[in-house]
Amino acid sequence: MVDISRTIHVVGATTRVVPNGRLGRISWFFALIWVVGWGAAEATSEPDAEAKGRQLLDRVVESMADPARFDKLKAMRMWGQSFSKEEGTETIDVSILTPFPKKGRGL
Amino acid sequence: MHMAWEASNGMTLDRRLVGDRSWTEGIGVLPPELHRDAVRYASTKLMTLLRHRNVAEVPVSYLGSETVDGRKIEVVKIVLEGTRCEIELDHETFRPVAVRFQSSPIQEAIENEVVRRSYSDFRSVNGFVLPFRQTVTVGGEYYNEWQLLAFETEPEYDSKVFDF
Repeated sequence: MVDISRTIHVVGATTRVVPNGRLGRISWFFALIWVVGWGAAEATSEPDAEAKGRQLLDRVVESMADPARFDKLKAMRMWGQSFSKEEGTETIDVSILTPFPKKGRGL
Repeated sequence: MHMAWEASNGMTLDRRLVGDRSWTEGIGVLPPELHRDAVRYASTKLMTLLRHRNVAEVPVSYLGSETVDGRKIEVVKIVLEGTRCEIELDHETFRPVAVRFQSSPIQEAIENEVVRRSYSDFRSVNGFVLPFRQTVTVGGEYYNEWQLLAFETEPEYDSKVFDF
C-alpha cells in the first residue's frame, strides 16, 4: 500500500523548500511521477508475488514426484527413527500415517 | 514404538506403545482450547503445505532470495490454518530446503520460538524423491532429528483412527 500520509508529508516538505516558481512546479511534477510510479509498482507486485510463489511451489513438487501422482496421493506411511543428539535421548521408532482424503482446504 | 497418525485436516493422534502398555495423546485428548493449535501445528508439514499450493483461498507469496550457509535459496510464504510458514527451496534444483514457522502453544517447551525443519539426504523411493533426514532447530539451536527408513504410498488404514 502507498503510505499516503508519508507521501503528503514528503511532498509538503518539498514544497516548503521550493514553494514557488519553476523549481517548485518541477518538484511537484517529480513528486507526482514518484507517487504514481510507486502506486503502480505496489498494485502489480502482489499478484506477481503470488503467481511466482505458486509457480515455485509447483517446481518443488516437480522436484519430488510426478505432480499428478503427488496430488492424487490418498495416503502415505513413513517409518523412521527420531532422536536428539543434545538430549542424548533414546532413538525411538516412529510410524507416521498421513491420509489425504482430497486435495485442498477442508480435507 | 511411537505411532503417530497425522490427518491432513489437522487431526493428530499419537499413540505410544511401550511393552504391553499404550496410551494416546494428540488432539483427541488435548483440552479443547488447544485443538486449534494442534490443527495449526499439523498444517506446518511440508507435504500438507504443498498439497495446498494451488488452493485459491490459501495465501501464497514469493518473498525473495536469501543465502543460507552459502547456498542461494528462494523463499515462499504460505499461510495455512492461520499459520504462516516459509518454505525455503534450492535456487537451482527447486528441492525443499526447509520449512520455518512459529511454534504453537501445544509445543510447551518451545513456545513462541521460530522452528526450522530442514530436509536433506534426498533419495528416490517408489517414484518419489524424498528427504530421508529432517533436522529441527528451534530459535536457531539444534532440537532433534528424524531419519526416514521406509516409505509406502496408498497404505491400507482404518480411517476410524481419525475419529475423535
